[in-house]
Amino acid sequence: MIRVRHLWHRFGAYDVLRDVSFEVGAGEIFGFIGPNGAGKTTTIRIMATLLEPMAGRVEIDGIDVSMDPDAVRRMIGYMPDHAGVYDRITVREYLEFFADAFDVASPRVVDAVIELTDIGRLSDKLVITMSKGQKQRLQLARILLHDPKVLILDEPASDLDPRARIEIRDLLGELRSLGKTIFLSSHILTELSDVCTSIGILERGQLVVAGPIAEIGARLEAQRAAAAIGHAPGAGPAPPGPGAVAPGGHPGHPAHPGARYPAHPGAAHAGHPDMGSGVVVRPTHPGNPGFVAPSPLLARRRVKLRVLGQPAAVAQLLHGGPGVDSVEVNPGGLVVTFVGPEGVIADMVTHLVRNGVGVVGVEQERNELERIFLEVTRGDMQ
Amino acid sequence: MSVQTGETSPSGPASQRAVDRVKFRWERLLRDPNPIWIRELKQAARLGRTPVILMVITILMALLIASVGGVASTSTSPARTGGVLFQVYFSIAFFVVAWVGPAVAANSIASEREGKTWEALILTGLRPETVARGKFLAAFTSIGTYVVMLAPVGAVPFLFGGVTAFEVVVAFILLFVFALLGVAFGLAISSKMESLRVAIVVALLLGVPLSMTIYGSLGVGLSVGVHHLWPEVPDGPPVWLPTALVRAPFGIEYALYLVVMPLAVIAIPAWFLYEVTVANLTAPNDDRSSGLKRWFIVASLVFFTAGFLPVFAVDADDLRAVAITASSGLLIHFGFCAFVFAGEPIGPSRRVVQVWDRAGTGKVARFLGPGLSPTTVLELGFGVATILGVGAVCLVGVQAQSASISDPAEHLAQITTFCFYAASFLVFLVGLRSFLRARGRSPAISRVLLLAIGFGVSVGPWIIAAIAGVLGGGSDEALVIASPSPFYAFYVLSAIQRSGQDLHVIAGVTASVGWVGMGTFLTLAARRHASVVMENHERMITEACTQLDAEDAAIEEADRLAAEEAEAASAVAESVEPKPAQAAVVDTANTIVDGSGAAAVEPAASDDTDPDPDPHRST
Repeated sequence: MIRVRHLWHRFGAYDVLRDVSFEVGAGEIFGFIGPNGAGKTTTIRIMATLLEPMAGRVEIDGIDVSMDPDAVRRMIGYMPDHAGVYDRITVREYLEFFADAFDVASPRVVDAVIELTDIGRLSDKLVITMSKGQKQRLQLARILLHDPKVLILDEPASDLDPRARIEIRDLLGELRSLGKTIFLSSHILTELSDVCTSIGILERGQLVVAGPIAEIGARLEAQRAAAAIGHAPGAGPAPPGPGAVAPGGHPGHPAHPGARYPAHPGAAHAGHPDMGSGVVVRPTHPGNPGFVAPSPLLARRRVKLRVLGQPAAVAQLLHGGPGVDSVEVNPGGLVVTFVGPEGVIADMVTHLVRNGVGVVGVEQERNELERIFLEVTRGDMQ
Repeated sequence: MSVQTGETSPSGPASQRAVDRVKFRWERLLRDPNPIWIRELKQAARLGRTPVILMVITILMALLIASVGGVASTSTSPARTGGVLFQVYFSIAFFVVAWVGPAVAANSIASEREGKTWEALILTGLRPETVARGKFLAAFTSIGTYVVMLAPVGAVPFLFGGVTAFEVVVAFILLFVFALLGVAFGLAISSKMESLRVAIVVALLLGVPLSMTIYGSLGVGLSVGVHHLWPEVPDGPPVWLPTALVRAPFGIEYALYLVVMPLAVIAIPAWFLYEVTVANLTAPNDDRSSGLKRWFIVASLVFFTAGFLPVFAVDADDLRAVAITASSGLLIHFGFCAFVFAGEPIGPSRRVVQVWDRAGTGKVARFLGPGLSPTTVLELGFGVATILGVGAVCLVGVQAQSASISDPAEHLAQITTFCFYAASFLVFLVGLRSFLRARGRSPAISRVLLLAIGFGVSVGPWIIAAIAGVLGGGSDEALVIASPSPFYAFYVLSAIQRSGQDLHVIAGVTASVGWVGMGTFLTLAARRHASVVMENHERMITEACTQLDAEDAAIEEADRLAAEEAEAASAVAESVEPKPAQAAVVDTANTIVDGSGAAAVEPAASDDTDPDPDPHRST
């Protein structure tokens, strides 16, 4: 749905974007992460046809944003960071104005969008008097008026209180269920890990990693493990590449977005030369012979189980099971470290239920994205 | 359909006849109005301070008119007092609309940018023309309410006598027309500005002196000429047009000077300001040029017509003055256009070319599109042709009426020399502009350099000539140094009249030839550089597209191979599945052909035969 290819942009003498390439599939929620000044908003503004790229190509549903911005605008809904609103106008009037501007055929669309975003009780309220969270909802309502296929949201949860964040997150999930492709940038990693199907991390204008969160986490884990026994290509300084962590699956045939493109000729040093952690930022072209894709099954992951009964006894049921690495008994429940796919969790739950244990909660470790972010970025001030 | 008004849009015009199209547009304005206009009206209706401001202005105006009327009526007749009040009221009202109009309009687009609502607005797909019209209507409605509120006070002079009701009505119409120009002016400034305050300050900084100049020149100044033509119209009062329209006898001069020319004086700048606004609201990679070039062509033809028409109305002795005035006016017009077109892109963007290709745009429309070289050709063609054309018409007039001119040869020489100098200096200006734009990094730099060099060339030679004159003991010959200045053409006129001044005439002609040569050289250099830039740009784009296409092909090939492999693998998996009828055959085939195939199905077979898939049962 979204294809960004070898995107470069420069402000003055500073390269804001350097050979950024990634893809977002239809129906995905793609989280775009990066420190301040990494180039997130520039990328987003180019995608939203508000900025012309200096090099590279960006396509939304196969349409080049530079060549046919009008067609792209009909297809996207863009919510900028800190968007302004008109004063002395009510919520309904605001949406009616944009419905007219979008040339929406029926006034019922406004009612439908108000209902979807749950701002019906605010419809007669002046926009200027709304809270930040309410304004964000209103902005979401605005960009839904013309029923776009792709939603591009720049920091939708910034400056929101916890309740508003939860509401926005739930709304995003609802929109995804309606078939929208959602591209959002955020600093709040836990928020992204809850809603995103895949992520891309941008640093200093380069994409350092992209793909499904679990897959990236598994890969990093595997690379750490390989580095520990001296097999990792990233044991020394990481080789240069286009800025996408190598995906799992078939070697040379990338399985996730962002890794489909070979390095741009002018982007020979896209990776971080001192990234000794083993995050492989390398080309994934079919012709890369030295690459051995680590299996995601090697990664250790953690899941928190809340069970009825004696946790210590239940822990005994899980010890030594297939994929189970360790089981910790905590006051809140059990924390199981396991190796393998998510099916292992299902197996554990099935096993416990069959043994008469009531499982009342299963929660995967939430800070996985934070770990990934800290691991693949250098944390320099941008 | 308009969601804001709830009205359904009218269906298209009943026919292509002008009447039906106008009717359709009017219905559309009423039933499907500009969305920005409607939204801004709703916002304005909730602004509490507007009625207060309107009321205060009306009260102040009423008090002022009452005071002036009271003072004037003690010493003059009521009819004269009515005339004075008419002038005072409409002069003040002119400045109110001339200052408030630009300020209100300057607020419109800049406030959207500053308030961060602009991007949301343009992403709706509204055309720049629609945005410009919506903003214009909103600002014009706002300033219109000022005029309407002041209207009762404006009727007071009519009660005193001395002015007719028709004059008052015409004056109010003119007030609305000036409001239109003021709003268009403010909007053009607002369309360029990012900051609301800067937009208002710039609009007022430019608008106040401009309105005073218009008041002085087109008001007080022109009333003298009008009085000369029609003694019934008094000289001196600035609000002369309503009086002239009522009192002047109808005829060709009436139609030309009181109807056609005022309309042109209003329409040409209003159209220009509209096109500038639309161009500023259009993305840099879109076509920002065609509208301005259409205006350029029409405005040039109007100015050309206004330049040569007086040839048929003036005495033979005045033909020289007509030629000098008209060619000077045309040079100013084309010089201004050279400044405006300094923002022209070097060539059309890929996006514009694609739009042209899709729409099957013809050569003429493409010629009027973005591109430095076509713009230069257009300007030079129209500029040189109209200036020399006016000169030629005047020369023919002098030749035809030579019997009634004391020294026709002198007139011919003066017209020829002056028009040639004007045309040659235009060639230089346009060439310089093209060169600066082709080489410059941004339009702003090109414009600043063009202004600086133009000013230096116009004034510098006179300063040097003055210094040389002082050093040379006050000799007239030192003025030859000033020949590169365009103002030297006026000196050449007097040199032709005087005997023994051939040196100055030769210097003037030499300077003209020099400007032509330099202008041609700069034009050719700019054209060459623009071609190189365009070729390099095209080559880079082609290379990039080739690389991306090759990459696409590689990815597609990889996808195809993977699909084939997956298909083969699934075929193998299916073939070894333990289906009752075929299992033995498939198994045999797998074992013989591909051992890995058999291995691959082992876990699946194991799963299938396992009644309890619980992996934890051993615990």
